[in-house]
Amino acid sequence: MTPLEDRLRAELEAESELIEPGSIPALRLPAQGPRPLSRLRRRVPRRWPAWITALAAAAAVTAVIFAIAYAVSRPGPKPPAPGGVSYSGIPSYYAYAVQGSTFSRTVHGTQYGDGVIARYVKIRATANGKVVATVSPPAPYNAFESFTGAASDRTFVFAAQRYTYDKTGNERYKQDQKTPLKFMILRITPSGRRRLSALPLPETLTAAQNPTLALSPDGTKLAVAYGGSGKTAVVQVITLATSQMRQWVSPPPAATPVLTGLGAWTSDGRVLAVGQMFIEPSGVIRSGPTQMRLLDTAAPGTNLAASKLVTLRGARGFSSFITPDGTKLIGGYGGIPARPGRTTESGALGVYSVRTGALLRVAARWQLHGRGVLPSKARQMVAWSNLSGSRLIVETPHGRLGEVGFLTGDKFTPLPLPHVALAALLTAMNSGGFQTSGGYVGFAW
Amino acid sequence: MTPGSDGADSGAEDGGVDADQAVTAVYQEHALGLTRLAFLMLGDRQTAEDVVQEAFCGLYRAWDRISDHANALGYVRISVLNGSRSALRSTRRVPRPLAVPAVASAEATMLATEERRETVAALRRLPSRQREALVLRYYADLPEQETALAMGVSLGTVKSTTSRALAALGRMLQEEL
Repeated sequence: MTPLEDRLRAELEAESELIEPGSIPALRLPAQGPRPLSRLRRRVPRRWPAWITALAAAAAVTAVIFAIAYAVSRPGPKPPAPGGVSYSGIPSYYAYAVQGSTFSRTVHGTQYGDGVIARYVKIRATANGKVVATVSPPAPYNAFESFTGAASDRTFVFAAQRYTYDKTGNERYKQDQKTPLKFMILRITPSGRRRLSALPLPETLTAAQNPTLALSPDGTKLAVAYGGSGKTAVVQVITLATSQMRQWVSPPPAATPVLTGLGAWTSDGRVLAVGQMFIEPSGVIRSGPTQMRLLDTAAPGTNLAASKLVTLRGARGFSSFITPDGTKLIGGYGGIPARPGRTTESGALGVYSVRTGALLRVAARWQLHGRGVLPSKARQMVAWSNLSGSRLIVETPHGRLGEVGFLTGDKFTPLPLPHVALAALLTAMNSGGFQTSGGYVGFAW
Repeated sequence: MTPGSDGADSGAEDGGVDADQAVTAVYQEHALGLTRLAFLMLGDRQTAEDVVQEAFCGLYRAWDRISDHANALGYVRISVLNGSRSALRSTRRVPRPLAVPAVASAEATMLATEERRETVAALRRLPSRQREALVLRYYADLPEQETALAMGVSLGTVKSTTSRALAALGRMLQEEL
């Protein structure tokens, strides 16, 4: 066996393990059953000239070829899941922010430049890395504040913001906090066609409000959260087809409500998991146990504070990921916080019971050496989960920057997607996903 | 309904029950491996799952006509390979190599460890027959004789195709270094 053959064998094996045991859909046998031998051998007396038979046979073969080609090429039905969204396979697309410059200027021989984290967003097919869409903010907007995708893989929503030149002599761009955010929606049809259009929301939002977003699993509803920490906390759910809006509020002192994209909705599009972030007047995020509000969006009422509050025992950080079946919350667990002089920091990703808030199991542990990181920045981030939370896509599960992949039990399989790894690296380098603009602009499935 | 057709239908139902159980058992045992094989051929999980489903539906429809049920895996493996070829032809969707972004040196260092991505990308640039030969020999671990049977070619063709594929793969990987 040559080194090349060894390498090929090992890497084919590793690549094939992207398809994990237990993730194969059930066999769907045709209803008509097998064709018995006696029927196939039954002959019909020939009544046509031989050339017509030959022509008909050729036509039949052609028809069968087309039928087989159609059958093989058509997208197959996925196993049904609550809400009509499949959580069994890998997500078809991923979106990630691309950094870019918005400003470059030379003053007295010195070149000044300034960039933004999300100059534009690319969406690629997970299977082959092919670019499906590149979405840029429309002028005069020049960056994205946040974006989110639906679990159905077919819908993405973007909030575009504007940076303006700071004329006070700082030679840099600053976030325009007055111009309303511009929302856009991208829909990908089953045939692969993309439709990007403006998405007018019932209420005007600005970058100063730092809204976080979460599309319902089927992409029909958009949840928006903002306010709190001295202001009224607001959670809205907007039905995109009709612009009809429901709103829940909680007056001060209320925490800032935080939505984490795919991790905010249960698969039936009913329960919204809302993180609780306490920001001090000084701007510092208060450290404390993770608390989550579970808002039943189908129940009557408008009081956000009346929704169920779950405290995750031993968890740190201001948000966690709810599994689509609504039974578990996944978030940062324990850890040794960074302190001056300490060179090692550790932590873990915990799976918690929604019912009791108790820790059910530790999904992955991490340890960093030589560089302290605030635990509230949530080093390990869940980007996607199957229905029950037994299979996750996680960023930096072991504290190594730029590492993204599947976590099944305690087994980690890296995703061979350089763009995702790069986006995760950039996210990690820029305060764990929350940028100065306040929006999550890492990557989303 | 005539008595004759009654008999034919009930016979089909009886056969259907047996075939249901037998084909489902084969599926449960081998679906993962066959889906992985199709995935390596196609680079697309959804299409791979569809191809495997179609292959097992074909096995189910043909169950009563197959004389050697013990070789059901061989039959369905050939169907999966045929289905993979058809999928590639019909969609004209030759698996593309993963694009490498232009990145700064720090990121390039991070990405440099992704040997697997390079190998798989190189594999997917090979002609489908060469890719088939490598996947069957080095992933499915089939001996040359069984590879020949699965590909529907002679033993000599398997040897020469595998040799050419390895040489091409080696060249591509060398170029990427």
